Amino acid sequence: MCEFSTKLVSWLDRELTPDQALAMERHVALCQECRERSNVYQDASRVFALYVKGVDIRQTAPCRKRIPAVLLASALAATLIALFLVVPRYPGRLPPIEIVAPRVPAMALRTSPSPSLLAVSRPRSIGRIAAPAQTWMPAQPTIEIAIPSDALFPPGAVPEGFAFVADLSLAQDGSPAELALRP
Amino acid sequence: MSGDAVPFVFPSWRLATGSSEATKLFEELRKPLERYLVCLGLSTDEAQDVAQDAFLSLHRHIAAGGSQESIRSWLFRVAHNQARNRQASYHRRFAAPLDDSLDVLLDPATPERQLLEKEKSRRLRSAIRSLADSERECLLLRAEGLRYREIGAVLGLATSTVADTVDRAIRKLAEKLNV
Repeated sequence: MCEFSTKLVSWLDRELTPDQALAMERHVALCQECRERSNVYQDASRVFALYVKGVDIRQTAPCRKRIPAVLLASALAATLIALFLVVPRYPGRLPPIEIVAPRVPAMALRTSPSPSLLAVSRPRSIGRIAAPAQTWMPAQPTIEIAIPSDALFPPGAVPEGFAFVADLSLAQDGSPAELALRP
Repeated sequence: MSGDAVPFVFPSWRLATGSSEATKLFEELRKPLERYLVCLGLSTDEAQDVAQDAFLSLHRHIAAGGSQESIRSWLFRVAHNQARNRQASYHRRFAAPLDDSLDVLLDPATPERQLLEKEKSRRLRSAIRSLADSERECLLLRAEGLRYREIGAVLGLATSTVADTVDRAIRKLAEKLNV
């Protein structure tokens, strides 16, 4: 590479001192390589300058690449199709809701007297059972608790089919307020 | 859109001292300055903001009796620093100024655009991308007519460094363009 070629661009830009420029002119007139290089550099400079001058400062430059309208339309269509497929479709009227009452298992706690059972006549036992620690107490009907007589009396102590009914009233705090036994 | 619609008005009514000089500078340098800022990666709106700030600073500089030598490099340096500050502070996404997105900025109506062939333009973009930041900035300022000494003042480089950088950048461009 010719040693003068490193100064070619500066020479083309008229940045050399008069002496340097004169020496370069004389050299380029004689050096085929530098003449060709100077032409190439001039072309490159001209193309770059044209490119920069072509920048239109009147338009608003996009901060990022614009998304083509076709892509936007495709994305919108895909979204609508996905929503159509994913969202469940209901008929015009919803089916009626069937309310099933819970099944209550058979238990000794009843709201009506049973002749087959012997009502407890012992206030101590009734009081212990009928005095739960809960505050909620129904007003009506009166709860009757039936306990088999075999569980409380020896066999034969109570005649067959005989029963006591204990009427128990409870206070607001759940404690027995009044107890009355009747056959 | 016409060039007259640019919403940029230099407040020349505020000028007291050196108003004619500042106005002349404004008319002469506004477009090159905005173009340079856009090429650095700012949007046109940002470029207009930065240029306006730079011209206001210039007005204050002149009104305060500041030196009017190398006023062009002074203006470009102020704008350049503001642009770089914006890009740094806002983490701008202009990783590659003059990239493909700039193609839409090329005014098809200009004769310059007509002169550029499509293939040559593509190769030019590729070549510009391959340049270092300092090389690209030197070439941009050089394309706006700044001398090496002025470019050095804008970028904070020695004149000899600018000469070497421009020489290296032009060689790269010529090699890529294969012109």
